[in-house]
Amino acid sequence: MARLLEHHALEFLARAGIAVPGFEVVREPAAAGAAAERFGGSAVVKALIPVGGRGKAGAIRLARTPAAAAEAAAALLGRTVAHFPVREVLVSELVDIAREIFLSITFDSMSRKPVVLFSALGGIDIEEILAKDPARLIQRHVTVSAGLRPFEGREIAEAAGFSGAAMVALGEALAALYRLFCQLDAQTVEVNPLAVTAEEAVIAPSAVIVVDNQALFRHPELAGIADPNATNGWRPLTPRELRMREIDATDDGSSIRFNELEAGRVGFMLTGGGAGFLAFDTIMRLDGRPATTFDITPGRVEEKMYLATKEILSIPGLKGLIVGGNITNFIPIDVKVRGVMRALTELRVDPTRFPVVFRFAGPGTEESKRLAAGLPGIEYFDASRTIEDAVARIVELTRAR
Amino acid sequence: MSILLDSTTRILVQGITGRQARTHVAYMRKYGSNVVAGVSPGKGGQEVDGLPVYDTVAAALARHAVDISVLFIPGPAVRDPALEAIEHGIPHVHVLAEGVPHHDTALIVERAEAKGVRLIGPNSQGMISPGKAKLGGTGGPEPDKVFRPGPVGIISRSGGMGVEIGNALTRRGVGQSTYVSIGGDLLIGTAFAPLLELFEKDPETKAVVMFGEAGTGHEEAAAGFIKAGGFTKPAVALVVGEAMERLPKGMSFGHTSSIIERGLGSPRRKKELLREAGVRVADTFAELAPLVEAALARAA
Repeated sequence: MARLLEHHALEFLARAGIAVPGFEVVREPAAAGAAAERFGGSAVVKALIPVGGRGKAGAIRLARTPAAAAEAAAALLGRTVAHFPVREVLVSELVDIAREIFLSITFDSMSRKPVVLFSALGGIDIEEILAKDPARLIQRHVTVSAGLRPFEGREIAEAAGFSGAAMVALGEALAALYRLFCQLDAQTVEVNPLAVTAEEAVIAPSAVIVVDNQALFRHPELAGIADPNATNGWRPLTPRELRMREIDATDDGSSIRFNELEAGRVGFMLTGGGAGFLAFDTIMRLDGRPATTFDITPGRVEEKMYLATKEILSIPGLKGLIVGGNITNFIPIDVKVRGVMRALTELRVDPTRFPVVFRFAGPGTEESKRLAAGLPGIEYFDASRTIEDAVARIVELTRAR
Repeated sequence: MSILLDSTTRILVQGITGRQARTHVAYMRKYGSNVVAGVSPGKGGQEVDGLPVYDTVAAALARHAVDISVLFIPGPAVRDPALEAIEHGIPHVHVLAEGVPHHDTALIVERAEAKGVRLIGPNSQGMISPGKAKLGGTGGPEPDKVFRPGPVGIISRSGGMGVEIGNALTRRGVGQSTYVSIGGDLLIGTAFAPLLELFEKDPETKAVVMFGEAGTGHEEAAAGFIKAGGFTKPAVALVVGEAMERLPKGMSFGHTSSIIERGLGSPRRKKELLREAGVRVADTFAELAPLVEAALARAA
């Protein structure tokens, strides 16, 4: 899921016909002051980073004068906010807000439909709305083949207590935002607050757009804008995570998901959606301190397993390695094992001193065992033993070290 | 008996001329699955292992009665062929692909519901009724290594873990009636509750195992369904992803469903609700098969 930077999100909203305030992206405090000047003196200065939580981190500042805007920019630029270094700030025109609305369009896994979440309790996050007054969160599911039509937008606004020109304007805005949600293959379009002005016009002072990585293939317009490498979901990628993305990009015949964890001791390469979770629960329960999570989809994997194993073994302080996954139905496992063995051999790993546990089961098991036997000390778990058994073993082997 | 699939179930294969499809269709037929025809636009008139290939689903249906269509088609391309099967009212449409864009899945699910079609997947690995028939990749070339006929139904959000569960049961001499891989995506067609309803009616199934994960409300819904009396046979569950709750929010693992939404999706909460509904919940994989054996002993 790639989250767009806010200025890109605002540009998409403007193109969709939603009113947005004037805004500029700047890298220098003086430029922030000049931008505020153009916006009439006062402005909002925000750290431009690809995650949420900026308000709570003090990274959204109101400036009443150009000098204050420059000062706010100086305070934010170069700082680290929510793990991200702030290299740019967004300076935007101050909006005269009469009423604030919470609006989010996203998917609901139970109805399997898009859902519009709308509340007149704007400006706070959804958890707070639910805690404060859940009855004031309006949830409206959208029929995909029909889309969200302006009359439905008006019904939502009416249910939230809006009337007159504001209700009509909100109906149009909701329909336009829903079209944008579809047009970008978005996972979420969120505007909080969506503002209604004293003149009953609707304006979006901020916006969050998260797009579906699985649909990026059909969105050339998002190239360079939706950057799946910008974050691992909550912080910037580590240098090793970035290198793993490069390894992944060498061949689109399979795809890697990798996270580096702090203070880990075990190179942890157990793959498979559900099996990876089970293995991770197990190692955490046994206090085994994984240094990584790793998943690779089936396909051309030998070279990637070789490169990935080498990358993971370069983590300082590792005490052991576990590689494998669930029993496969039809995917030959020896291809993966071959890649891992190449890495271990090349790095002259001695499994009698650096514990290595394999859990590979499925077609190719005999060949895999033969390959693994090439390095004495590798402990091989096949289908007669479980993923849990293998995880427990690597924890035991690495605990005393 | 079994649910959804046996040796009489008439199967259409969309995307049959692809390499993966050819491999798996051969495995399926060798095991006893009744594949009647295939569809591959532009390849109509060809044959695959003696099976007729049609350009369109409509042309296939003009010649053959079909109970299930299985799609061996990659995620980015699956929307149109899935809709083709659904709009023609094939009663069960099975999508194996992973990486289907969420907007496409939402439309596919909506049309399936409108047409009364049972949709399984996306991101399903397939299903198997041991000793009778299999669909998709499940069981591979040698299904007997893992799956044997018997009294236990399996429903799993993870294809790989369904195999692990089959393996653990078979090694203890406990066979399976039907195993269904329902898919690990955020949006899927059929989840636990509707399949529990089918297992309830199947006299051969004496107990059901559910494999759940963090994210979505499907386990919560299953607990509600069981509590309301919709499923009265013994049920055993394993729900994974608890350790993920201790990590920073937003980290991406293998399955796209592993996002915890407003109040739904916490593995701890899922387990609580399942226990309250009388489900035997395993805290570790090792506990699972013994719990199934105990449940079967009680049922007998």
